[in-house]
Amino acid sequence: MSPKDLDKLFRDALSEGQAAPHPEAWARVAANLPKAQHKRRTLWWPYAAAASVAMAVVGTWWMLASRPEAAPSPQLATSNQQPATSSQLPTASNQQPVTSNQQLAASYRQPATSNQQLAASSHGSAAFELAYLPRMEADEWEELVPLLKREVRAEVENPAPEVPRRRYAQLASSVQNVWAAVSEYREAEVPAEVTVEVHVPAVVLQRINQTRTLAENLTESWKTVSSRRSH
Amino acid sequence: MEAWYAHIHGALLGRLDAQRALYEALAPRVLHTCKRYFADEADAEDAMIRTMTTMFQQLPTIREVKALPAWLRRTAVNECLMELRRRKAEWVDVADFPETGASATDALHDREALWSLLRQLPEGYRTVFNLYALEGYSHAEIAQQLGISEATSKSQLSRARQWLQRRLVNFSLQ
Repeated sequence: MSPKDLDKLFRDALSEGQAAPHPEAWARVAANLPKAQHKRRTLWWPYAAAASVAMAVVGTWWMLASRPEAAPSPQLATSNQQPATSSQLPTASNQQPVTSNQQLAASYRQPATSNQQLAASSHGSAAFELAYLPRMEADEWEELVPLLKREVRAEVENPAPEVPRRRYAQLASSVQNVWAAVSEYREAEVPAEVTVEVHVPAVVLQRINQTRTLAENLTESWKTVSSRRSH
Repeated sequence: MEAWYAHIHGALLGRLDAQRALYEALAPRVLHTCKRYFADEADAEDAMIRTMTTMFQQLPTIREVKALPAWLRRTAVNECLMELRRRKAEWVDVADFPETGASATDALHDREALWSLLRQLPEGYRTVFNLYALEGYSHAEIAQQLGISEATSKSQLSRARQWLQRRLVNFSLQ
């Protein structure tokens, strides 16, 4: 029998197999088991999204509050904004497939519906659906956070005297709502969807919508530029 | 998909029943591996218990469940070698190892016979033979693991083979 055959003989017979341990062996393993871990995996992005939405709200509000002369009246702002966006993207609003988010976005561009939107936002409520906020967008929002933070800090150091106290409270409750919704979401551990209702002053909401439209326009022009570049 | 996959999650959460089930499923394989390295069954069981303890501690870091059996086997072998090193097993030639008279095993089943032969092997021979023939280590790896030279590893292996050959002559399976 050659050495190779000998090795193979033993390998085939004994390499794999099972041997029943003594029943008391388990007790010795169990004595050294690691402590139970109750830590759940943290879902980071709802926090990021909530934080950035809150920061954006606070930041825009501060910007508006510190420059009252720069804050336009709602009607004036939409009438100014409308020709600018329509000249940049004349066909964008009609060609897009209608998802709930894009529909919302598209409605900001059209004068007829933007009045409705204003009417809706004038009683101070709007729904942000965090579940629709894709991760990329959350990342982008998150990048804004340091900037906004700096602005907020600057504003806290030099508070604008003309901001009414009632608005502060309103704003604080909005942020509180976001946090409450996120913690509920975490406890329920439902990964599907969460709807956060944020009550913001109409002016702030309008400013957010403007920023959003602007961001979308920028994204689309970037896409156009990069597609041209790639051809 | 093996049945014990289902208990991994529970074991990670620290549920005792799942940990128990995982142990019941995997410990026999580990014990089998360990028993190949020790003549004394209690030593093998100690090594198995240390291996399983390590597994439960390392479980959160193990990414691929499918790789767990291979990981366990490697860990078990390392545990056995550590114990053997601790005892300062002697890597010397045991040319005049006393005949135990257990070679007349033709009445036993093949597997049982081979099993008993392997366990009768002198410790140094058995370790090298196990590592080379059954685990598939190279001489370089064995030398590194055991802290011996490659030449020693080779000579131990060939002597182990001779030792086994001599006793296999009596076997009907020859």
